[in-house]
Amino acid sequence: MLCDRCKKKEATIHVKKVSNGKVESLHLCADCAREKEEQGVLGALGFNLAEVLFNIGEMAKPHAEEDSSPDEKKSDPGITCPACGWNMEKLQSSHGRLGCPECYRTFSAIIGEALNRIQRGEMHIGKRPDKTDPLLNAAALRIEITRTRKKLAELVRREEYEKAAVCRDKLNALNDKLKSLEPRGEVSDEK
Amino acid sequence: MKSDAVKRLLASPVSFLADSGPDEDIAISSRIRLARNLRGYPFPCAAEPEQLTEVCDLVSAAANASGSLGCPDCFSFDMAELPVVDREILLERRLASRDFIDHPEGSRLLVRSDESCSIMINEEDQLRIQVLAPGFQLDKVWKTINALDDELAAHLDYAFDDQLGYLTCCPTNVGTGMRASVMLHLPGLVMTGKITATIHGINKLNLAVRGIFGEGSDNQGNLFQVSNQVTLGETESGIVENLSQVIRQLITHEKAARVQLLERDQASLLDHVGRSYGILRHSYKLSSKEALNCLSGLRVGVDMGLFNNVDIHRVNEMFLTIHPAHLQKNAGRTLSSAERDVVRAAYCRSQLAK
Repeated sequence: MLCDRCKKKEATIHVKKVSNGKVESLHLCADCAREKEEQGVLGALGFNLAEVLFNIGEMAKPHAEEDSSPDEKKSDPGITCPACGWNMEKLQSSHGRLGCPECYRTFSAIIGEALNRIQRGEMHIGKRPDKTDPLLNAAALRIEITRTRKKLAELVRREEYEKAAVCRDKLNALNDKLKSLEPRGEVSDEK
Repeated sequence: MKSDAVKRLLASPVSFLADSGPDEDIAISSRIRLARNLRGYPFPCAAEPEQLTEVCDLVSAAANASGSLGCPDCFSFDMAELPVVDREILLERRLASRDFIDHPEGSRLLVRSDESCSIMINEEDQLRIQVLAPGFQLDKVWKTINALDDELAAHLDYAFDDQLGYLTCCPTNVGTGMRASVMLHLPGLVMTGKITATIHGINKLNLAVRGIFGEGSDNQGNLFQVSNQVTLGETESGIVENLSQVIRQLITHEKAARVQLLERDQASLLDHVGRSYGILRHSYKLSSKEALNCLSGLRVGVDMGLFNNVDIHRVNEMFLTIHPAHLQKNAGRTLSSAERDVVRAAYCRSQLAK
């Protein structure tokens, strides 16, 4: 089978991706796959084992064909973290673990892809170490307020009024919290 | 000297099993753990031995300075110095993970004397802070661990990103770094054949359910742990709230299943309870599997008020102390599997004769 992209070389990497119930297949030669991988297009290359471990749903599943030599697979480890030297190979051999905090920047493309699949949103809205700017916390609060407002609307639409009442109280509490963070006001549009 | 500390640990009751907690007839314990790392250091899987040591010392110093975990009067175990059986003891008491005790080099465990709080240093993340409490009380556990985390944060520079939150070795933990879980005893749902559908339903809510001792049909002791999966994009209190809501429903379902069993087939339920007690009280050879299943049956009997002389907390502790490392440590020597079965039976007889 020829590579879907360059249509010249033999395809040795086969990716199956399930999104919205549709299965998309992509067949690539090693060179084109590497290029796409560097662009973060293949996504989650390092987390295929983590997926199995944590049962985090369908992900891109690239796998080299049996007839490709081991040297070929290992030939280019791709991006390397400047802080700890972690690369794609280590990412895979360590079950999707990263080498250091800086790796989040280094591998941001594939991590972003993975987080989209396994987490709820891409923004931390929980607690922060005390030393950071509390206004940033307000930004996180706004996200939670928006989400809670949507949830409330959905509960009202489904006529689940008891749950909606709980959700409304939560929304009010969040708005109060935001006001307390910004005592001078400017949150009037949040209600 | 370290081994003496493990002996001291063994001699004291495990607070999360021995004390009373809300809904303890079904919820055995509540646990929250937070994953934290230090800015400027590689995660343990990429660290050099001297960096691991440095992190151990930094965290110990922070715990001592803040008085967290009752330090410096807390237990401090350098894992590589402990014999295997002692490490297994820490695992059986839920103070350490399997991964942690299997890779002891450069790791340290700090434990409060009542075992309610602990910090694994250099597990997958540099800090895995844990708080355990009896029964179903995730709110209280969150308050405790939040305060503990703040105390440590005052002395440590955590790796934190404005967008992604607390940076963890595995992206499945990034954000809050929080995993909250409740251990539940669900014999009613198992015996009425509803457990598979229940687990299926819970999985759809982005929560994980696993058997404590064995999965699926191989489950022993009817003990299950329900925990959150998502760590990014939710607040800690939101995670606790969502999980608590599901736990409350599970408790209601389990109670309904027990009533159903009593109404439809009282004789079978009583027979199960009675046989469980009989085996634990009178047998001379007891495998771990049989003991766990009988303890589950006995616990149902205690919950139903059939045994006034058996304390539920003693049964809780037996779930833990019938395991190999505890049996061997108490016997003072290494035991073969066959020997363990004999010692286990003797231990259960003596516990129920009290």
